[in-house]
Amino acid sequence: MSANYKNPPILLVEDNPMDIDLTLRAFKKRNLINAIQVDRDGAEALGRIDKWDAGEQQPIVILLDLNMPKVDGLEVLKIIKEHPKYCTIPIVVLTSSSDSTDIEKAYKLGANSYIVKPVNFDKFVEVAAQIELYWNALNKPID
Amino acid sequence: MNFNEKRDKRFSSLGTLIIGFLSLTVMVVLLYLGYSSQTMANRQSPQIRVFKQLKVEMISSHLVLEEVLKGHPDENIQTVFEHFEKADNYVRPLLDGGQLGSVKIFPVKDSLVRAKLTNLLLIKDTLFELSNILYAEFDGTTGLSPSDQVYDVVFKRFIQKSNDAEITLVRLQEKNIQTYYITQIGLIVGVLTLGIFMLLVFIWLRHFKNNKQKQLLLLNTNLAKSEKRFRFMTENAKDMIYRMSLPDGKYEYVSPASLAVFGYTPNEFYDTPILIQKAIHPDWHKYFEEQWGKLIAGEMPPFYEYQIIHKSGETRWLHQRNTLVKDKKNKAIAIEGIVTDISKRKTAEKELLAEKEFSEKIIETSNAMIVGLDKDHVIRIFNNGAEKITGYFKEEVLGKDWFTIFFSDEIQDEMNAVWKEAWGVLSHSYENIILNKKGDKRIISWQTTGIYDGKDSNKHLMISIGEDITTNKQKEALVQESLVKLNEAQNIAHTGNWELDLITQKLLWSNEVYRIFDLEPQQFEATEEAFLNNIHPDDRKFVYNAFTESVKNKTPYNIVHRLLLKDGTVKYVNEVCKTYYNKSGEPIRSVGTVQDITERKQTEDALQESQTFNQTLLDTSPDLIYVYDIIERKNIYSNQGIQKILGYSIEEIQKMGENILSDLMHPDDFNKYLKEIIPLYQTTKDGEIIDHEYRMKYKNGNWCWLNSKESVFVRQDDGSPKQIFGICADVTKRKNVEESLNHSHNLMSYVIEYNKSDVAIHDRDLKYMYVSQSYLEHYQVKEKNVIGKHHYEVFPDLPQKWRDVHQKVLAGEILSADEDPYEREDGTVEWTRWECRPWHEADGTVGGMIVYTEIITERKEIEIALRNSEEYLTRLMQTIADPIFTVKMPEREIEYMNEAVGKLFGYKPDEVIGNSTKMFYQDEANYAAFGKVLKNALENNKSKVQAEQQLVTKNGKLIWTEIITTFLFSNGLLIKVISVVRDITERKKTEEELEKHHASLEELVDERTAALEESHEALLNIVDDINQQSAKLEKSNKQYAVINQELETFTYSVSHDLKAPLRGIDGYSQLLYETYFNDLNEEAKTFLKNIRKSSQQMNVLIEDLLAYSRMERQDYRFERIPFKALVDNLLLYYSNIISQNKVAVKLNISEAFMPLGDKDGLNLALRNLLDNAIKFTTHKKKAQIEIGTSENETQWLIFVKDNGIGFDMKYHDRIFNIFQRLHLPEEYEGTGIGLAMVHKAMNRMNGKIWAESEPGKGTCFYIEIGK
Repeated sequence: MSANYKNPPILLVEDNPMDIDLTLRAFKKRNLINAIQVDRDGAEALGRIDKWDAGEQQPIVILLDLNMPKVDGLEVLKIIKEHPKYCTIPIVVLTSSSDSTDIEKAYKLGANSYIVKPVNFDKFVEVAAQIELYWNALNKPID
Repeated sequence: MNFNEKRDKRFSSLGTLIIGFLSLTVMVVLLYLGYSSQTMANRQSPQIRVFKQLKVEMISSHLVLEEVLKGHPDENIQTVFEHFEKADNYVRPLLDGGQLGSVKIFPVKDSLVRAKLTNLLLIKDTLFELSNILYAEFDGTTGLSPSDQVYDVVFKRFIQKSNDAEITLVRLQEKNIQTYYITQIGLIVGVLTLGIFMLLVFIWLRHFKNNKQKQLLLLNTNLAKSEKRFRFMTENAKDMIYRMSLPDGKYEYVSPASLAVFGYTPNEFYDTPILIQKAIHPDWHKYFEEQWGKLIAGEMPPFYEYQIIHKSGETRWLHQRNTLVKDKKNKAIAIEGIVTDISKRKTAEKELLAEKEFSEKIIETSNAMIVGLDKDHVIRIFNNGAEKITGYFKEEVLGKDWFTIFFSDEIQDEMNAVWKEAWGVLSHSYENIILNKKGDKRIISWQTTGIYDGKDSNKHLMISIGEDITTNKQKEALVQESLVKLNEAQNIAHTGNWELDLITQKLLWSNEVYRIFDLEPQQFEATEEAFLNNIHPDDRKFVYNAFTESVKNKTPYNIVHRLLLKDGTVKYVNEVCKTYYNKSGEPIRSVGTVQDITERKQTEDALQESQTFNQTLLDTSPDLIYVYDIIERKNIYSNQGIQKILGYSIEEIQKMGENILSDLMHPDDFNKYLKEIIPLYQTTKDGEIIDHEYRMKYKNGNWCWLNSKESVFVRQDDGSPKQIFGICADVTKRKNVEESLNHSHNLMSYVIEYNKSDVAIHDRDLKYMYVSQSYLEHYQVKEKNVIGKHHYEVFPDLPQKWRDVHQKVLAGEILSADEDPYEREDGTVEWTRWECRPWHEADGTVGGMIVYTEIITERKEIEIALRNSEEYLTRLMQTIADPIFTVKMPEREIEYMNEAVGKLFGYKPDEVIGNSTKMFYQDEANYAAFGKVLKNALENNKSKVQAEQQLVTKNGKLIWTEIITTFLFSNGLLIKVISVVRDITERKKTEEELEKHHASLEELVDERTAALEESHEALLNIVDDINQQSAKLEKSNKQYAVINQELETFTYSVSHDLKAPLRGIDGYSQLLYETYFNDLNEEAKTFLKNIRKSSQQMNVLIEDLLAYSRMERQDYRFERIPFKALVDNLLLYYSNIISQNKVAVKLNISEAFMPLGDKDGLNLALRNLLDNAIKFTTHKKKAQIEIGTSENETQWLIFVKDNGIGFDMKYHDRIFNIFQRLHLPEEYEGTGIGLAMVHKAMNRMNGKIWAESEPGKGTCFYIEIGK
């Protein structure tokens, strides 16, 4: 494995530019040392699989939005979670939807967590902190 | 013996049987008690051994510790701790039970001893700590430290307490042994009771053998004797036996011993309920009440001891054992008890203790020399006096050989020979010379006593008290005194000893001997003659011979003989005697012991007697009596009955062993025995009898039928049966008779059952013996099996008339009726023809009745119907306006005519009846023509014929008639016809006119048809229109569904997509606020805050909209909702806000309230209602919310009530519409979606929501859901 990064990156899959900006800012407030990779839609995110095959470092966690152009989040979730190798990467669904059918579908497809993006920015910062703390510091991934 | 006598005997036998089984139960209980007390005694001795071991360990620890603290190099503190650990190992099993080596230790049950043991453990732990401290303080030097003194005090305390506990434990054992003896007496009573029971069974069996009256008489005498003996034992028992009923405390029975035990007569007990409690010594009130409470609660302590104040004023010790008697419902109804006066024993115990202490003191303080030797003459006791006299210190001699130290080498062999002689002798006195430490000779006068501790010869000691008579003869007195004390101690064992100087013939008796002989030492001089005088005359020679033989042969004797005391009492004593001889072989002294064994002997005799009695009883019985062990599957006992019945010898039976049943029993019956009878044993209660019959093989190979009556004899600890007691009789003859009887009975049943007639045979009690199927069907008897049932049980509503008939028939009459109405339960009436006649037994008496019946309802009904219809017909014919004739065929002669004939034709009946019908015809040709019409109809098998015919009236007028003729047949031949004649003259005219109009009518019909066809076409057009409308409607419905779907999708995605820009607005406002905080003025900051506030309000609105639209998209699942749990969950969720707002929430919800609905929907509705209630009570000082439920036959009702601001009822319908609000946002926050959601949710659940409110008073929302 070629170690491009000292710490494994966090992959953010999100189409809304303002949401991307706010998310990055929220992580920045946490003084996160991990790099954050951003994919703007589902197709781009699925393109990662080839890059990982080519030796790119796998993310420690994928933050995945559901409503996206081209390939939506649930499809991305399904493909990665059915992948023989990359199904072990934790995927946290991070979306505006608090709809119970969305939640149910996501978990059935193998999502490791489902977080509703709060509108309030203070709470959003808090959520980012929790995500970083849990998935980056506490959770023990497969080596 | 006539019938009545037989019956009476049978009843009395039944009674005695019941008593017998009660006795058997008592016996089993007593046997069990006996067994358990024995087990108790067996459990005790290892406990005491273990306890002694505990003391040994503690003393060892003490000794080792002393050595360690003295600085002894070989000892270390680790050994001390090991001893502590061992001590702990010994004492734990006493409390908790356990295993020590191969010995199982049962936990001590007595609470007092347990308390003492626990206390000991505490002291032991303290000692352990102190040992640690001492060791820690130990600095290698010697000398007392303060801890040392503390340790000493505690250690002494341990020894004192452990002695105390040991004595209690020993006493407990003694008590248990006493209990054992009491239960032994119980055992004998039980065995005697069994004897009585056996006798009763025997008598019962004998009833059927008239020729053995003599034996019966003999048995009756034995029964009376045995009863007398039983009563004698109860009435003369030293112990008071009583029975007290509960809860009133009245004494039902008190034995005369009460006078001795309490000083009160039985009558005083009967007059005063709970007299025992009243006599209790004040010190024991509390204890007694505790014990009594346990007893009533059914715990039943094995016994308890307490003090009472005897009527004489004395304080007495009593020992009491109780049994709680319960009835079938397990309710305590009485207490049975045995009370023993143990004052003497208690005093003796006290004295014994005092004696023991005294003896120990004497040994230590006595100036006399006291030496204890074991069987190998090793010194075990060596007191201060001995030290003084010999000059040796204890330490020098203990554990060493007595002879080696104190006697010169030359006489060692001689001393050993003397020792062998002396060992085992109870007591003797002699003098010898010993060597002191300096080597000087001292003459010592010895009094030696053997102390024998049970069976363990290692613990036997020979205690010798010696006086140095070389220097000091004054000490003789003291020695004498201690001797007396020791003797007294022996006497407590009911054993006296005596010594006969054969030279002076002087006889010395110990006090106990006087006591045994019931003589006063002052009044009686003990001589051999006096001794012989007190021996029972029959035994004197035997005792004298035994003694003289013993002296002559130099062999000790050990005999049992009787004493006849001066008051006539007979006592049994066990006497052991040995004679000593001088060197020339002449007898000089006989020494012996006398032990009073009267009680034991009596017990043994009674047991022996009852065993012999039982054996005789068993052996004379013609029936097989046996005890069978169903667990080990073998015969424990059987009498000679099996030989008599089956012909096998006892050896043959024993050879079969456990296969006896499988070998001899008929395979079918053996199978039944295994499957049906053995499981029965498991459930059988005491006193219940299992009665079964089976076949066994005679020795000659034939089968014989046996009847066994069995009951459980012995049970295992868990109550399951172990041994079965049975009595078995040969019933082959009875079975054979039964079988042949059965055969004829079956045949009879068969014959009658399939009889086509209705037949029933009753016995004289009117019970059905035989009945035909046809009878049961016809009388609609629903019960399948009426055989054996009473006639009136099968027909409960049978009228008195029939009951009278039955009585007459049973009295011998024969009754019958040809037609008899009989009303059924449903009110319908049946007609019967019946006959009842008695049938007779062989001796001519009426045995019952036979009923033959036939239901003739149908025939009867036909008769009646016929009669009725004839009458009806006549009347009908008379009233009918058309003329009717009845004509006899083939003569065509008129039999009957009605009145109408007269009117139409002008004839009177007598002018017509009997004449030929020819008189009504115009001519012969007409008459013949109508005859042909009839003939044609008959040939075509028609039953009637209609024809038009011209007839002639009396005055010659010709009229047109229509004649309808019906034929009547008998046996296939036409016998008569009935003709109804109608005057159709007018109709004939009309027909002709109609013919004329026919043509014009057809024209009219054509016109009408054309008009109808037109209107039909119009109708089809209307239908077309309707179809078109319907299609449109369907299309718009589909469109509506599509629009609805689109709308839902729209709402969903709009709500979602709206949130992203909102997050942008909020996020960047916040970032702006934070990043440029210093550059912004206060107004700008307020603007930013407002922007954020708006965006958050918008977020709430979106969330609510989402929830609202979600309801449409989700399917509702209907299920039973546990409402109480749902509300509890919700309140948990709201608990923070409820406590913040200080809302008092009151619930009034039935646990059984389980409405049928969608759980999420109902939850959403309640959440919104609760939100509202909390929101609108915010400004109330005492906010109250009540959630409650109720239901009626069709509806579930839920209400949420608050005391908030309320609203005007004119807005009632508006509040359930979306976005409708009654308040300004700054007053109460809200989106106006909540109640709309509730409304929608309830609609979807087919429920209803409404509210009742008044401004300022509060609001109550109601939800109604269909059941």
